[in-house]
Amino acid sequence: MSSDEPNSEQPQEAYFSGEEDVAERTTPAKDLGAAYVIGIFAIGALILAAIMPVVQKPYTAAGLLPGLTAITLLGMAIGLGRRAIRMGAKVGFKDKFFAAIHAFFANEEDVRTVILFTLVGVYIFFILELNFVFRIDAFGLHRAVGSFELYTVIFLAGILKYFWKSSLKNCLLVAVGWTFALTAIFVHGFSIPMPGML
Amino acid sequence: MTTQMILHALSPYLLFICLAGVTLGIIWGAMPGLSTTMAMALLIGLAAGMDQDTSIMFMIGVYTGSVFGGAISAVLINIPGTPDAVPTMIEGHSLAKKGEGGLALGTAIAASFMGNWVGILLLISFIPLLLALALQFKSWEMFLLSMWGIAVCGSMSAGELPMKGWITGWLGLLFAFIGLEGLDGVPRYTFGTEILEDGISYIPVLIGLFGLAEVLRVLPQTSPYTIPSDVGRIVPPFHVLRKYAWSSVRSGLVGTIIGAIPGAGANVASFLAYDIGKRQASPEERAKWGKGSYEAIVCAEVANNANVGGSLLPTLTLGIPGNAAAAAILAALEMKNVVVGPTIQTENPGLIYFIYIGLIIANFLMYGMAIALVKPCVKLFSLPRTLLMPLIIPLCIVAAFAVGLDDFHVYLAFVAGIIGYVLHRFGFPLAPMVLALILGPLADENFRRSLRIFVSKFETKDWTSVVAEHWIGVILIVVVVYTFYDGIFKRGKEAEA
Repeated sequence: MSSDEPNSEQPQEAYFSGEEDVAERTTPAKDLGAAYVIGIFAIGALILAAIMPVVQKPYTAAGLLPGLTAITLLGMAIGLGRRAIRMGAKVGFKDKFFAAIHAFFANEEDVRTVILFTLVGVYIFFILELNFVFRIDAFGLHRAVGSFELYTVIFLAGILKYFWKSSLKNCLLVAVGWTFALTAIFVHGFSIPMPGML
Repeated sequence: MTTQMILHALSPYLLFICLAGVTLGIIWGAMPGLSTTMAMALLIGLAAGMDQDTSIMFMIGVYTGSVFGGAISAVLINIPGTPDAVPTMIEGHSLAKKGEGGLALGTAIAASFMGNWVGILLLISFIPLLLALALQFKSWEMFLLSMWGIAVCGSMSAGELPMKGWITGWLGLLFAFIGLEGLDGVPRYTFGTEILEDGISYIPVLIGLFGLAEVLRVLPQTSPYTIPSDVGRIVPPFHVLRKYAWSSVRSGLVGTIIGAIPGAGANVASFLAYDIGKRQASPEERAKWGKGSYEAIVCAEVANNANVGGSLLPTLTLGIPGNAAAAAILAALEMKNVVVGPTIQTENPGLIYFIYIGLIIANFLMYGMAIALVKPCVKLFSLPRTLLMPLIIPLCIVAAFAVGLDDFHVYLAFVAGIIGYVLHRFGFPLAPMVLALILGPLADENFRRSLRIFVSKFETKDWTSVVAEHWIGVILIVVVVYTFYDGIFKRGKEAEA
């Protein structure tokens, strides 16, 4: 057992913070920043709802519920912002904002997340936009290998190498095994084509 | 019809599919960082290639298995496989440290089995009542019910600050309005792009929010855990359940009722049953609470498993999913063109019986597989998270593509993954967004239809019929107003204090 586990003689408390555990990640400054963004988003949605054409009567207008939703969302953003200000978010908000950005890029976990986002984005782009299918009809083997298989092996091996930090051979073996298992289950088991194969 | 359904559900192929679902679910739920919703969201892709009955059996198996699976890692490595297993972790791991891990897990298995039974029996008992009530719902009531569903989901999922849950719900509503609207075919928020005219499907969003976003969040983290060398013999001790029979029944009721409330899932159920159990326990038993109590495990596990049956109540009768995992069941049904809601019995005769039987079969299979899979799961825990999590990325992409065989769905899942990650970092819950995407079109259509009816009644000065015909609507208005009042003036103030 790890050394930082609580002493078994001390009763532990079960702490409930909602169906999704969100309590620890919130700070007043973050809430204020979120309130600004959501407020701007709500205003944009409201303007777009207001200019939607009214085909029949105003009470059946396409923009009616979107408009009401945007107004109430704006109200919620104001409420969230006001609460954050009451809790001291405005004190040195600009400094906190730049410090948070600085801290984000200084934090190894966050940088790894950005790298992962980028890798996944590029991987999806390659699969969907640069696709091809090879048909192998040789030595009694009839098989179609698509861009999905190739790109998945390459990107998965890369992601495994970066995060798992095992040898390249192991990463490639896992990537190849998993890719072909997925293809076998989806394509051959349930006749669902892989992305990029249509 | 019932006999036919039983025989059909007991066919070797469907039994095998259900077993596969239960096995996948238990393993998935047991792995730290992989939640029930994630399992459900990603395995929809696989269900897309199955016929209706097969996909139902598979998804029910995954759901039943994954809710229990969380208990394995909770007891053995002190990390809850799913968030609802936190109370089980506190009690079970304390017992494991005393060398009673096998008995603690056995208790969790027996309690889960019992919990599922309570949930199934209450589901069977209350569906006819709820269906009869649901048939009384007119446009105005459906609109109010949809809005209440989103509001209460926001309240339940956001903890101390319901406002944040509502905000994600309202953002989800705005996303739900994207596309050509139903009455006049007016494009909304499409910015002239054809691809947005079909609207935003909630299935890729579910995959993005609960699949990709979770991988992106969890993979870069480093959190090692210690693997136990010996688990001990796993014997589900039914004498323990007999001893805590009243606690089991009470927790089962709590779990089912909580499951039936939109947005309140297994997490709320297990914590609430655990808390009530602690208050109701004998002083001698209460002293063990937090240090390894079998009664506490019974309370938490019965409740979170009873939640499965409860969450299907509003899903099947009203088309409003009880939680995000039930939304995945709804998605699997909708992919097979099954329209759930008040008319489910007439439009899909026998389907409800098939679902009941599926749940019962899945429960028996869960019981057997839980005992068989504990030791293999311990071996799986020794695999690093950095090896397992990347494997989910291609699965997310394949799942998003499989639901519509459309590239746009893959991009949508990716964008939803980014949005989910950002919202999570800012402390916003994600489930209300999915619920709003499901309920948004329903709310919009019913809102405008009911306004049209109300205006015609007001023009004829037919005031009395408005209230007389909409007494359920009046009750729902009070409930909606109270939900917001409670969130703003009670819980909001408590959070600030």
